Amino acid sequence: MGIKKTFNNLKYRAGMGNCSEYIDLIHDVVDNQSTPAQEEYLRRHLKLCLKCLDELNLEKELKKAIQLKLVNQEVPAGLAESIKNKIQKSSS
Amino acid sequence: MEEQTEKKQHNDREKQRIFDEEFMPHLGALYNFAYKLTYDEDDSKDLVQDTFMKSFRFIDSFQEGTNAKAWLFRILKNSFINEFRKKSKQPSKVDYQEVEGYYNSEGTEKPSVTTDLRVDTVKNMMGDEVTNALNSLDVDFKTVIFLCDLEGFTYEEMSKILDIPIGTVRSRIHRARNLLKERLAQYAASMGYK
Repeated sequence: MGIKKTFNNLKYRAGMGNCSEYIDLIHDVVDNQSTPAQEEYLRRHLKLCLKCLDELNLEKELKKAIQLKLVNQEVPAGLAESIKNKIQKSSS
Repeated sequence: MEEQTEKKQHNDREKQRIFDEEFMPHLGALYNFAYKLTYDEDDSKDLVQDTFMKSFRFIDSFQEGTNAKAWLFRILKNSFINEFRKKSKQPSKVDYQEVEGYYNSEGTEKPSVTTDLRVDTVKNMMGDEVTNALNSLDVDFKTVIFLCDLEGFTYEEMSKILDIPIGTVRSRIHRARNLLKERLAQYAASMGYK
């Protein structure tokens, strides 16, 4: 790893990277795809950056809205039975 | 299915057991996925039945103990693309390959779509606005939102279900959410929010 890359990596870990470097991490955290170490990098950055904190809160709220407000379709009556009948016919 | 190289031959009784215990519990989730893709009850029923028939036919390719739900979602998604999507009259709204290329390129700045959208606005949205905004997205964007936010698949599982690299899954989710925020921001603006 070159000196510049090492330095940028250190800045990123310290939370002092550019905001654009944390966009992926914000989504990863919202989707539970991040490691505890990565979450710590983001936490450090959020202490310094209100813009990214707003972005994280908005992404979390959007995900919550999708989960709460999208109604699940009820499975039509008889579908399970119909599938089982077809399977039985195909295997007999 | 092609990557499952080790096939175990099951007898009829074992096949039935695997089908009942591992596959059927996912009927509700599969029906919902089908409905989010087709928005038609009859098409959804056909798609789900077709998925279960295929799952039974290829049951020897399924390895017990692996993720049956992801395996079934993959079959359903492929059936939708190969058979149902061709029938769709609705043209693709966005050239997502182009968009993904753009978002994957280095140095891409995130569009400023959130400036007029506040967290409270999203909280106050009725279900209809969220549903309408989601419905207005291209089916590929809707699919990643559904798989990630409603079904809780990991990026890796989504990559397998959709046959795309994880980087593409990630960029597609970002793009889908940004489009959703744009649509909700337009709605918020029309309601007088700033």
